[in-house]
Formats: sequence, C-alpha cells, structure tokens
Amino acid sequence: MAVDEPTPNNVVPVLVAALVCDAAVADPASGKKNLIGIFDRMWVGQFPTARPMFLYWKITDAEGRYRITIRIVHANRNKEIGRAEVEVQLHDRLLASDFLLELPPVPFEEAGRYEFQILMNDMYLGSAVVDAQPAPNQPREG
Amino acid sequence: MPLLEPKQLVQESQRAEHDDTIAAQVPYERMVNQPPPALLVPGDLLLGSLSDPRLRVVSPIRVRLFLEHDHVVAEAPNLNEFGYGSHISEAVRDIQRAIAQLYLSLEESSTRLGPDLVSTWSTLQCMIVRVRHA
Repeated sequence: MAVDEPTPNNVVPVLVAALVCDAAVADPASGKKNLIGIFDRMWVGQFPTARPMFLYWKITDAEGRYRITIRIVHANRNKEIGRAEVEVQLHDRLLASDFLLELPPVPFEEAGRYEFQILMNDMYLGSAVVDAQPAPNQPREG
Repeated sequence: MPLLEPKQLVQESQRAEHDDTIAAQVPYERMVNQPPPALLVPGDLLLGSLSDPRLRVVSPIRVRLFLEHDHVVAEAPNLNEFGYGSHISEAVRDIQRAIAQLYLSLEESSTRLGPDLVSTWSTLQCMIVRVRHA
C-alpha cells in the first residue's frame, strides 16, 4: 500500500534574518552558526565574475513540512540565475530555525542587484540582497 | 544558463531561548535538475510577508507580475492594489508597502467604510493580522 506524503503546511513562517557572507561554520556540538564577512555590496574589477558565498537565514513560527526554495535572481534583468530546494520538517512553531547554505560560485554577469529570495511552500518570505558594482579604483566591500 | 548547485546545507537547529538544542531531521540538499525559468516577469508570486513589523501575513497574497512601458508592475488582484518598479525587487517592495498602507488606513477608519471598502477590509483581515506586542 502506498504511503501518502505528508501535506505541506500552509502556516506562513516569519523570516527573521537573511544574510550573505564570505564564510560560515556550524559548531557540530551546539549547532551554533558562525558567520564571517557579512556583506551586501561587492566591487568587481571585471564582469562577468563569480564568487562562492554562504547564505544564512532564520525563520520562526513554522511547523510541519515545508519545501524551501532559494531563488537567485538578477533583479535588473528580472531573471532567475539559479535555485536550490530542500524539504524540511519542523516540529515546534514556537522555536526558531536557522539555515546555512554553502553556494558554489554565484555568477555575476554584469553590475546590478542580485537577490537571494527565500520561499517556503512557494510563499515569498523575503530576500538577502547583494549589489554588484564596478570597482572604482581598488576592490573593497561593505 | 548556469544552474547553481548548493554544496552543502547545514542542518538547521531549533533552539529555545534557554539554549535547549533540539535535533531536527533534515534531509540534505536536493538539486533541481531542470533549468530554472529564465524570466520572472511576467509571472506570479505568493507574498508571505509585507516586510512591516506591525503586520503579519497569515494567508499568502497572490501577486501578478507583468511589464508595462519598461516598468515592472506587481498587482494584487484580490485587493486591487498595484506596485511599480524598474525591476522585480522594486515592484515587490512597492506592493508590500501599498498593501501595508491599505491595511493600516482601513483599520483606522474601519467604522466608517463604504460597501466596497468593507469588502476589501474583510478580505485583508483574512490575509493579514496586526502584530500585538506585549
């Protein structure tokens, strides 16, 4: 007899934080996340370019089964350049959940705004943003 | 078009404020094998947030995205509200602001609304609740 898949939950979670950073590690003992080099702008010497990065996000008020979709969007072109999906089961909506996603080099084909959109069960919760700009003189970030 | 492959999704944790760590069963990342759609406009979006700490979306708001004169328009057909921007991000933020403003202004004058606005207010109350802080 086939076992029914659990039904996705329609409780709309609250996105507490979404950040992009250079590096991150999770303490295997406690599960605590350490984020290094948080940024929302990058100066690029020459386009196109690509760079690896981490996406961190935290949600609360979620319970049940969710399909999380991370959609990487070049906003100026209204174009999706990549996505990742994961399914999770969350047990207590009174507790927060945080996630860390190590991304392979993200392609930045030209200057503009790039968004890391977070959707749960296709519901758009928010995004982390990176503005890629041509380097004025020397590379810097902030 | 490059398809990003997430290298590793670190297991999420659910922690209470007193740091009581709860183990959660999380499958590792799953790749989506088919190429993603190239353009997001025209398209649809389910808004799950208004990015306003006073308001909470409890039922997702359907938003239609389309182009008009080189601008992106975000329309919430159920509420007859529109947001505009030079790209999708601006249009989504604009309609989030517009819906939040609509909710707050209808809430303020909820006792003296005409029939059309009563209907809109009723629809909004099914989708959004006011966050009350203790």
